[in-house]
Amino acid sequence: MSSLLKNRLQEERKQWRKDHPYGFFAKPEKSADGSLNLQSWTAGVPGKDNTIWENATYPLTITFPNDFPSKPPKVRLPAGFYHPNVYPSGTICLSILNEDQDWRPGINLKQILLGVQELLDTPNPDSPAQEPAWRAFGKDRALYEKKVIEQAKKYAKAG
Amino acid sequence: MEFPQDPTIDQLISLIEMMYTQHDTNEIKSIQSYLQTIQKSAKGYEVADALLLNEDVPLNSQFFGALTLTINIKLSLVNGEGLFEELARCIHSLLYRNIRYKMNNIFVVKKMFQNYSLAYRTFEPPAEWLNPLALFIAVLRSLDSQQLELDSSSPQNEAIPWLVQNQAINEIVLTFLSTYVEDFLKDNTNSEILIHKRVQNDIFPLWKHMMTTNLSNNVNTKASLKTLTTWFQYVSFVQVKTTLRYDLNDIWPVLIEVLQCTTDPEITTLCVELITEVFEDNPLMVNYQHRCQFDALFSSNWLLDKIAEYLNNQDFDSLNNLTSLIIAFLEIDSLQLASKLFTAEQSSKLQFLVNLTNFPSVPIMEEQISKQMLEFWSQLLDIFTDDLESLKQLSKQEWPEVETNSRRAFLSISQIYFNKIKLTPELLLHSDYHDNKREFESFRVDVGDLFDLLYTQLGLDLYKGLASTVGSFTTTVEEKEASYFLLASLSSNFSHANDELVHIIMDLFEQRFLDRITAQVNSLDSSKRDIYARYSIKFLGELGFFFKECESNNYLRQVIDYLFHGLKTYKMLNLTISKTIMEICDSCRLQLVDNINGFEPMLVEMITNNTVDPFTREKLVHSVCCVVQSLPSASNQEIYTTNIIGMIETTSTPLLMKAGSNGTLTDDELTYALSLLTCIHEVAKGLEIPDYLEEDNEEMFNQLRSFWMNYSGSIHTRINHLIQSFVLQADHLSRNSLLTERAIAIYKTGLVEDFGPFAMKYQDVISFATDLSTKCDLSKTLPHLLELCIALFNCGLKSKKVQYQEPISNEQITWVIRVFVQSHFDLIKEDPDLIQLTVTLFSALTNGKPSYLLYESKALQLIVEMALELLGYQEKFVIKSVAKFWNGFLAPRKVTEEQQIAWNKLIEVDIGPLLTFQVLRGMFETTRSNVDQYSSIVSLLIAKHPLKAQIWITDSLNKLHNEMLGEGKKGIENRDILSKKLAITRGSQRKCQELLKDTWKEVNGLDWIG
Repeated sequence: MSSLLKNRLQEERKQWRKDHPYGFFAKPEKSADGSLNLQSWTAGVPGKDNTIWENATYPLTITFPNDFPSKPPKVRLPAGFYHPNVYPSGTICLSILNEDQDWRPGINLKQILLGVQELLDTPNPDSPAQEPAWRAFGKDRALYEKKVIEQAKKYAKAG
Repeated sequence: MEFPQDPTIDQLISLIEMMYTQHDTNEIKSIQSYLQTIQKSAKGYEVADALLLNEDVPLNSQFFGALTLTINIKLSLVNGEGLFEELARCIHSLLYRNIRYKMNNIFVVKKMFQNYSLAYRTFEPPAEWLNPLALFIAVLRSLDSQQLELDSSSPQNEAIPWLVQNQAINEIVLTFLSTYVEDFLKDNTNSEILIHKRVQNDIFPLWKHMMTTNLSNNVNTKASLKTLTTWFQYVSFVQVKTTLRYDLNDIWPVLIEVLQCTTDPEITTLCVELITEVFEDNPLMVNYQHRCQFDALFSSNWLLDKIAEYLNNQDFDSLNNLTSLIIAFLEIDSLQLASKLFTAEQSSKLQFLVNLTNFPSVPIMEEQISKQMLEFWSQLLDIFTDDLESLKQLSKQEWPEVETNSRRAFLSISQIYFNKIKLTPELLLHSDYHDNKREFESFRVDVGDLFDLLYTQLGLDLYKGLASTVGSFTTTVEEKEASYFLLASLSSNFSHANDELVHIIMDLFEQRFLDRITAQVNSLDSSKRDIYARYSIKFLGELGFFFKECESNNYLRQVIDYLFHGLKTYKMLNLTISKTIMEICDSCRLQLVDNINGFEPMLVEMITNNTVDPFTREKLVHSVCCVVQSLPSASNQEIYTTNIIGMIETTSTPLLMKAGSNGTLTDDELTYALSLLTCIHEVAKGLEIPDYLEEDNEEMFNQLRSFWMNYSGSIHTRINHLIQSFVLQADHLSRNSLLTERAIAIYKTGLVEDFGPFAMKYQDVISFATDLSTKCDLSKTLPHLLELCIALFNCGLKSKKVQYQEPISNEQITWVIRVFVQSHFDLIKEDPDLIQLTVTLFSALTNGKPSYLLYESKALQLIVEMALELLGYQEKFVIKSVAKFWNGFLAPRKVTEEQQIAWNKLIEVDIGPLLTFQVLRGMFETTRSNVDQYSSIVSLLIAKHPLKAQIWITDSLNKLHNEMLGEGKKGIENRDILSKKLAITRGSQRKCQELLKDTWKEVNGLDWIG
């Protein structure tokens, strides 16, 4: 890992510790020998209160490429995650995570995770990434909501 | 509301005043819109002047005048000529009134200072006023008189003492100095070095002089500190954006002096916040010598006195600010700090920091210091993991001392935070607990993260300590709860366990640690039980790594018993418990085989009790079936499966009978029915044969295969019948899309299986789908039926599956296409989703059994016509699917040589020309991002049919060219060259893409795009 990348990721970690929103978590993965892999993080985004996404924390993996922050990190939910803007592989379709759209090197982890939280309850119907959720969101909102609530139970917070 | 065409100033003033006092938002909007037109009009500048220069104009209108100038400068509605003098005149007039008449117009003055700065950033000033300070000083010098007299010849240096000494002028200059640079920070676009150089050369010397003089002489201290803050931000900004460098070292001794000597709490706060910001954002502004001065200050009694003072006054905000300052200072060079802090020389500093962390009183509710110190310790621990080598090098011969002392200190820190996160009665009964509960939980999670880092230094000693707390007879329930919380957090990182760790956990089970928490929690008031049991369950869910290493049934038995007990006792935790049971059953299925009978009572309860949460019920069924799947005897698996299916059957029968006899189910009954159907799906998923079985346990795999291949029992019929009774026997259930989707999902799960209770005959699947299609609400269920057909083709046409059952016959394929596509073609045509699914179905067919199309001309015609038409669609996902279809169609697999010849003939005689034309037409009409999809088809046409493709391309291009001309469009130039160029690509996808993209740009008039 280049020292530039290492410094930036350490800074991300420091800033996250200093200021992260309630209910979110994010930390670098640990290798088998206990050392940290700063390029690969696990994180959790809570569903917003008073929405169909509430009472759950959705797990994410964040992979920072070697040319981060010129290029955005790859942010994924679990494969098969039910959301109109999440690909079957779990990759999230969000403009701030797209190099050709709104990604800027200044965007930090907190902004990314808040962006994902926002996306959960306000899907963008113009950027479908999977068919089932997109179809239900557009045509059968009751079904969509039921499935989201069901999914929320799967990722329910402890207790 | 009507507005005058050519308003007088008085009319404008009354409108402006109305705008600021009006409450009706529509009125405000219409006045605003009218006034904005005036501001941007040729009169705007004149209006601004009139409003600003006239002392009788109300303040709101004066401010409006200043705003009008901002708009005129920003939109360049004025030019630089005369602007600077005009701004000076207005500022002079405002300041004159401010000083002479004590008019409270400073907000207008500030706006004008902003305009002044904006003008210097936007226009080139006249030669005599190149220095922004010169013109401003000229204004100030003229404040004795009502008339502004600008004299650019008098030297500015002489004016400086006067600016500093005159109290009123001093304050105005401070405001000017702040305002002048403030907007640089907002206006990110303007980083022209010349502008910043002017600031450095012309304004900075005055600023520095004023700061040192004011702060040393206690003149306008608060305003000076505020100006200082703005300038620090500006300097950081400039140093990042440009090559300019500032030396601020004269400021620090003065600032330290102020901080140390002031008795004014407001000044202390300003100083503390200001210095914290510098240390956090740009510590390099402070050189080593001054850092030592700060260090000396923070190591002196001053700091202890301050802390004592804040404590006595219960001024927690100031205490937090002070802690932030210390942390920011210490973190400037964490590596250096880590190498020194744990030496004997700095033991008092270390003790001070440990004591600060252990600040008395309830965390979050009463003190935030321990929360702030989390960040500090985490940062320090990072050094020990991420930069260990550098730390050792830096510590040199002191490393052994650093290592020993740091370990001792980290142990103390772990103890402190362990106590801080306990759910003590004092905390739970605290008057602020309800409001700050979330923040406290967040604090706990952060402590969990700190323990992850502490573990890297303290290793299993840390884990062992926590484990001994949960295993002990003497520890309190709060201590146990905190330990479980931390053990769960630590365990979530483990993927395997070494011997020592295995023994620590084994000891816990040997001590029957779960009995302890059960007893202690049961003795609590029922409202508190869930709170204290929560993390014991979470901890058990994280023990997968342990059970992989330790195959003791007894331990798992304890876990399952505890969780089942919890399911009955801790109602709020049901979801967590059922998820935990599922995780354990999934990962420890082999070890749980001997306990299978123990699951039965709970399973019966879950299935038959309609008040159980559906999710809990479904997950428990899944869990049990994971264990059933691991039973070593296939016939036992069948028996258990039959029992579970029988249990669902018996439970659902009264409901389904009620529904079948025209009785509508209530919402609760419907939810219960859906959950029972979902349970069948969970049975199917739980029984799925794991991918690893064939490789890892061939004997078991063969036994299972042999059992099910020779199976003559009725389980398949029973399951089929049961599913159908949910969705085919009552009209309103058939039209419930949630039920139908779930029923379809069960068949889809079964299709993937080669054998087993859910591996249905293809004909059974087709019959079910056919029957359902006649009864369901097609607008909602057809997509799922098409998905089922896709899965059917993907599995039923696979040669690998032949050993288990006959592949789908041509008649069955024709049936599927007729029933699910042809019969509903009108519905499909209207819906892009259904179109996409249909094309995917066709792709599955073309990939699985292309020869079918050679012998079924009707189906071929239907499919090809539809796929050709879809090339003109605009939806990206449809285009993607149809391109995938044609790619498969042009390069069919699994065909004999004879069939390949027939296939080529089919394309070259019938389909090729039309396909080429439709592809190119679709491509020219689509958006740029879709061109690649089309070019992939063209490249394959060229690769597979090189001779014919060139002719098809030429003909198609000519035809399209004529069509375009007929529509008054530009047409396609150099068509022959293009088709030749395409031909010589020999079907290279990349080259074809480039050529077609360029042509697309030309045709669409976008060839100027790079």
